Amino acid sequence: MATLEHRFDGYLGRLRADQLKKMARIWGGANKSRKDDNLVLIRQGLNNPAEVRAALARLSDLERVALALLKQLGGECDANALPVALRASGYVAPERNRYRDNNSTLLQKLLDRGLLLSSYTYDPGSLGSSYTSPVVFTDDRLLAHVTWSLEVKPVRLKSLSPPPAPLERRPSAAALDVIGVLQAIDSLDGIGVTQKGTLRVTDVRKLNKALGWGKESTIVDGLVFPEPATAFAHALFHSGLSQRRADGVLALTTTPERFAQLSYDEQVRGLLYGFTQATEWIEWDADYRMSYNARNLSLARLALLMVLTGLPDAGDAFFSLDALDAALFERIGEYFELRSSSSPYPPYMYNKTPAEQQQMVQEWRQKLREAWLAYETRWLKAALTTWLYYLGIVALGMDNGTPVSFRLTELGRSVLQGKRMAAGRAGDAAQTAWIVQPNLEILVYLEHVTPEQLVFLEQHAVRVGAQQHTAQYRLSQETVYAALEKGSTLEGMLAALQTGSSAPLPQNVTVELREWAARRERMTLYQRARLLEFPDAAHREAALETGLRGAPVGERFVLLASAAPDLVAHPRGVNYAKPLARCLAVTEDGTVTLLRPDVDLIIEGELDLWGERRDATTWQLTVDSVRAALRAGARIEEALNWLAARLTGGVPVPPLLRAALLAWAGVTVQTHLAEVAMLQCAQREVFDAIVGSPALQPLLRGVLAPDLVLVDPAAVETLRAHLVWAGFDVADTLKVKWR
Amino acid sequence: MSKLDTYILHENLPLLEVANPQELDVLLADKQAARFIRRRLSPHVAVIAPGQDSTLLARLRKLGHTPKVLER
Repeated sequence: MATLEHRFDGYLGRLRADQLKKMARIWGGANKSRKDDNLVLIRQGLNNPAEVRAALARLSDLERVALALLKQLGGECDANALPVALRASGYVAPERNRYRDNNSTLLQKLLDRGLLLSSYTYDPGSLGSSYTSPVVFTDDRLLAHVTWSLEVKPVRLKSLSPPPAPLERRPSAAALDVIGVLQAIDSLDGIGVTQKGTLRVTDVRKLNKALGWGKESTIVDGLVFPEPATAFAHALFHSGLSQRRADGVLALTTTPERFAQLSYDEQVRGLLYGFTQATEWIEWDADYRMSYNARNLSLARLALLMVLTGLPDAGDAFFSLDALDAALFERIGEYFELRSSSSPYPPYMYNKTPAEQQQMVQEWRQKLREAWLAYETRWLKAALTTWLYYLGIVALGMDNGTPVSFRLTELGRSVLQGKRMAAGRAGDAAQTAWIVQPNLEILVYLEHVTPEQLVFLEQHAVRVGAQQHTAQYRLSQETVYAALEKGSTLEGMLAALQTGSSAPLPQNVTVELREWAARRERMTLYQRARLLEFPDAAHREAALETGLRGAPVGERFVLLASAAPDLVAHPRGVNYAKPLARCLAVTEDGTVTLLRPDVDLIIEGELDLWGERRDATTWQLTVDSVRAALRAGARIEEALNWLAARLTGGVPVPPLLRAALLAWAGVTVQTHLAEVAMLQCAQREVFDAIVGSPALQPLLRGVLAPDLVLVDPAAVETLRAHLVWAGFDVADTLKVKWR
Repeated sequence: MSKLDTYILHENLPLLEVANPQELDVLLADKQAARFIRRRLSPHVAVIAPGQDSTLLARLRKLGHTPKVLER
């Protein structure tokens, strides 16, 4: 997934004069040229296709590998990963000085040649310090003329006889699974990513469920593929098949249908390199908890692809996995460890004789190899049994559940070595590839099926199983209905099924499909219809006679044909996608009056839903009518929102009615009502004396206001006697002001 | 279309059309479906509550119907 603009122009101005001088040489620059002259020379060279072609023709093998690899990776690469991958190509000679940062030195040569720049802000012509971890990238104008495939130095491995029962995935099986993943993600409308950058757990769960994957892993031909949702989500992103939307969701950049139009090797190639960059996922299962440096995963994966690319063409012969492991170690073992962010450090050999130095290096290599066997070898086997096997790149020879030998499949040779496959091209003619059974199941022979046929099956049936050579699909009313809704036709469906079938379609299958299609025709839901309403049948007939295109509905309506020209909206027209007319008045007792009958076609239905009709223009909201609507599934908020939207003048729903509606919907409202006795005294000093009196307090229940106290109803006469004794006037009424 | 000035144009109106009027009768008897139906224009055609066509579709699917969905 590209993160930088792949044109050098914006970066050149930040390069030092001596760097520009080195970069300009490939464009014919001389040592004496000035900085500005070199800038012009580089820009002119990049802009001139003939000069680009001439410059590329002078590249070394290593430089050609670097550009071919960058082309596969979309033009850029982690600066740590590229030198390790280049070492794996076999074109890098071992360095004599082992104390330098040889990986950086190797990359710096490519920067100086003007083939790469780095994302290091302060100096794009260098890699910065070991902490900057930049990305290196090339210019798209160079890549446009990189027409050669990735070629690495041949890897010498002794071929073995094919094992008795190797595991191998057919390209169609790999394509089928990948298309299935794309369809599942498409159906989920992408996979959410949290602010921390992890995949949203609920989306991962849905994806696992849709694809029948376990939470921890899935099993493919007996091989464990750990956390497939994480693997595919990130691999698709890094391959450019998905991208992050503004809402943080990883959404597909293509449709499963368009993806399926690609040839098998085109489908797999992008995803393969996406897997190399998916450092958020590791091939090991969760039980194996050894630490690793996540960034190193992409180094290891790229290096492995390079070594696989260099395998000899040995037909169906296999190679020992141990020999592959040794070959990979031979090329990168002294410069790479999965666990460490830096290269292995060689022994300190100052003041040692040549013989001693040789001995020390041998011992160092032996230790590296032992550590490699315990760690990197385990990763290598996991890489072969997960993404490389899943994508159909390698076939595996197994011994007691462990891979011991392998070879590149035809697809693997096509993707990595550029040896075109004999079959599986886009546009291959549809061929017989399945048997449709009377029980509506389709047995698919993966050897014969074309990508287009796979897409057809995925769109019209549900996959119920897949093995090494076959897959099973099932037609159902659900899948056929979904396909018809997406634009398929019954006749097209039957024709495609018949074309792919090696026998006539069972009669009951044809009958069933026709019945399902016919059932769909029996009911139509128009989402945004255009309907003309006339004052009476005579007006409508007159309009139809003058050529109005549409179907009569009832006595006064015409449902306009979808192709009918747009009409100028009548002043009384109603657009149901916009807020509808305010036409109701309501009292707090729930009486609703329709002030403008016939304002639209739905107002009476809305009133009937929530109220009881009293006459032509009056409805009554009652506890029974409201609860009936709620029992049918409506929510009280809908009623409140509807009233608020329809009341004239924008007046709010009367508060008491609002409270009543909520209470009818089950919102608990607690009130207390009782006959009480109260004592009122406006003279503050006297009031305080009464409520503070030890003799009177047992007769009182609580102060309600500065001049009002609640009296125990049974003690009214006792209190009265006390007040009279005190010489107070005692009136029988309260003085109350309405708020 | 000399009489067109007499019409009222209802736009963006969700409608349900059935081949057999009994199917609409049955839907109107189903409270969870009926609450989305605002008006029956004819034995075959009913007006759906705006914005509720997707919810009604889900209900129809649950009842076993496979309606053809048209944008307009």
